[in-house]
Amino acid sequence: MGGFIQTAGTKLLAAHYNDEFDSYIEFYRGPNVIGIFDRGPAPKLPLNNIWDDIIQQVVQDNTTDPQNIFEGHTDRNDGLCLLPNLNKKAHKNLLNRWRIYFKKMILPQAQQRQLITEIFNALQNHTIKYIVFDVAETPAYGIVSATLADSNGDAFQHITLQTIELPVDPGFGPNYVRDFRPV
Amino acid sequence: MPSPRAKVLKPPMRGAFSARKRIAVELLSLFSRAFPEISYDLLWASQTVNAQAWRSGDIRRVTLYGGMVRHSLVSMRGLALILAHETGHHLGGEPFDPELRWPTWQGQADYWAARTAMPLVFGKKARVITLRGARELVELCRILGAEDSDLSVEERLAIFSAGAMKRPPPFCFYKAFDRVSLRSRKPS
Repeated sequence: MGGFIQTAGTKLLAAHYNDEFDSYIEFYRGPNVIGIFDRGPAPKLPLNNIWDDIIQQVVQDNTTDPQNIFEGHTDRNDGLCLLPNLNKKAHKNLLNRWRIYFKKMILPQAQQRQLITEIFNALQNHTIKYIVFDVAETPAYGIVSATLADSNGDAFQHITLQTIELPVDPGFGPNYVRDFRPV
Repeated sequence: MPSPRAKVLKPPMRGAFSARKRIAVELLSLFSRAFPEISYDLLWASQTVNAQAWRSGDIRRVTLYGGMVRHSLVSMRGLALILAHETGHHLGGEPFDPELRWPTWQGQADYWAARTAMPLVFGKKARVITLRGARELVELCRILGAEDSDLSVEERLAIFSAGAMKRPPPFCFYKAFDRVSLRSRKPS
């Protein structure tokens, strides 16, 4: 997502997830966390949408981090790890837009499932040192995932979220602000 | 005074737009020849006023969006500099973006675009095209209120100018990079 005009909110989200799945990737590989990403047909857990089933489920507490190895992992009061702790004045609509993006199926369910599957596969593969997320506006929705090597020779998973141009007014009320730049 | 958004959605003049599309396609072809390792494309239908470097697996892509090509403030010079900048995200080298990880950092992409890519594509005309293109793009960002998350418009203009004049990056380049590095979270 190297854009000519880089949107602060989008970059903030990308930075948060890139850091989570690098600095704290072993937290996500923990026995009480990785299962949250293991979604599919029964007997696995279903995935309705990423916001409710993933983002709202990953919390740092005594269950997910019993030995408190990742102390200070999240500085949010609710302990959610997959959301950044935002300056609400500077980014007042960002998380609302992010919630709508998943809950209202702007990103279709098939791509939401594929995204979580790719993350789960990367978490299972311990040769993957970290995950890097990328986003691009494209003519159709899609998730592209590839294992690449960085300049140190370390393997990482590069997951690109391809998303179409969003409508100017999708009809989700005044808090949904669409600007003229990619998501 | 019309809002920036209204300016973006100004009704099309069919002839002018087809000429702009032709220019964009020609520029993409020029850059494709100069940088065959990059896959360039134009998303003409999009209203988005931007361009983007991104990766699809191991394919390195640059997409130019229709809203940028149609914008009345941007000429062939501005579009060329944008393509050079996006190419810089792939080929500009260090420093890389500390938050996004894989792309060359925004300021370095600007500098590499002006110093390396533009001369490769346009030869002796590069300096004039770069300096005029930079002024267009800075004005566009000002009018749209589209402040970049890493660099102010003044910093971008200084970096483009230094690259075009073959000078070292200006002080603000390092200052801005330090700002971004400090902002990114560090492992505990």
